[in-house]
Amino acid sequence: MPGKVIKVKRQEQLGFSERLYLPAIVKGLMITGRHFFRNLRGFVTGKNRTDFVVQYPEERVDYPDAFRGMPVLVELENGEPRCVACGLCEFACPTDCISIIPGEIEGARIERYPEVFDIDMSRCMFCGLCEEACPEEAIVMSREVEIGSYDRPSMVFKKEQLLVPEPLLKRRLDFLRAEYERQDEPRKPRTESQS
Amino acid sequence: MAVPDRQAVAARHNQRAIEFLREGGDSLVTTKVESLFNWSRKYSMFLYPFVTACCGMEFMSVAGPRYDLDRFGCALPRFSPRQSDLLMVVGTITHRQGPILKKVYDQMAEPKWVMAFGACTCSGGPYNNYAVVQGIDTIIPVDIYVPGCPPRPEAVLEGLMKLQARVQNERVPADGRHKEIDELQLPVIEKPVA
Repeated sequence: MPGKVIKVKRQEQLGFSERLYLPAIVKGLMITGRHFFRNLRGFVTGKNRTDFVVQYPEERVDYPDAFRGMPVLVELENGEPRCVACGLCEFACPTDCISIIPGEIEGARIERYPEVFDIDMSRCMFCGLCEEACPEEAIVMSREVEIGSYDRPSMVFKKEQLLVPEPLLKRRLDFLRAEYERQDEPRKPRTESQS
Repeated sequence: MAVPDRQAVAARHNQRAIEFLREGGDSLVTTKVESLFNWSRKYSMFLYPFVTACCGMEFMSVAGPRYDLDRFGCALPRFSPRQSDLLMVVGTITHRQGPILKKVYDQMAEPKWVMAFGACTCSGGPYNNYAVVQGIDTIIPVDIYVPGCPPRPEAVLEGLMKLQARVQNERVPADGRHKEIDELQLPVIEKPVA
């Protein structure tokens, strides 16, 4: 006979208070009630809340640094986009939601600028490939996600709607620079044990 | 989000109400009852989740305890179109799925609303090809679009609040459901930019 059979002792006979049934219910309700009143007090006084719910319009969670919301254009101090309308983001976009018409400034150091820069947010899938392709750090993913709308034309964001001042995007830009620095580090040569 | 000037909106509403009454329109009582009905409708939506693809995961996270749709009175999924008010189209609709969606929409009783949840339902999203319907509004009328791939729970809740603002201002049947959007009192939400 393999092994040794251990007989587990279970409480098959209910105790007196359990057989009465009501004390057990009260015990259970006390646990529920404790949580309820603790959170009720937390809502009133604003501290020691233990519930899991995010009370959305009033409070919200902080997204991690790598979070990708809708893509926006970096606005310089003079109110112009940093974009030079090279079209790499348009080319990299897997959903073809970016459309750029470049314009020309006579005699300037950077003579190209986007005359039209539309992003169709109803198609965009927030993949971040445009940000990765951009050589100028001109298009970055923001933290904005609430772009619900009543009709389709208003989901196509124009250049003026996409422009965001650079200081507001600092967190994302810092994250990107650190990320690229990390990627540019020379790889360690492989040792025998790793391969 | 542009917030309309409330006083100007109220003045326009009053002006329109006076003109409406002069023309011998509805009485004050029926309009008040209608706004009471709308108020109760917007906070007790039974939704029909038409879940076909990966957005369903995000729908679960919205309906779950962390972002609780129930706080907006919208968390009783009815898996029968006859009992539901809000058709949530969640996920890619292919051309084979199209007739089914149309049938479900037709089976719903009035008043009914449709939310396009995710990029695929809004416009076809990344699937710009022969197999996928390029936006469900080519099949059924859509009241609120929530783009995103998939949309964050915050985006869905904001869309739901916008839909509630629309429901509150509905007139049945003459004026129809299409109020001017700039007259709606839209939810004011503080958003982080970056």
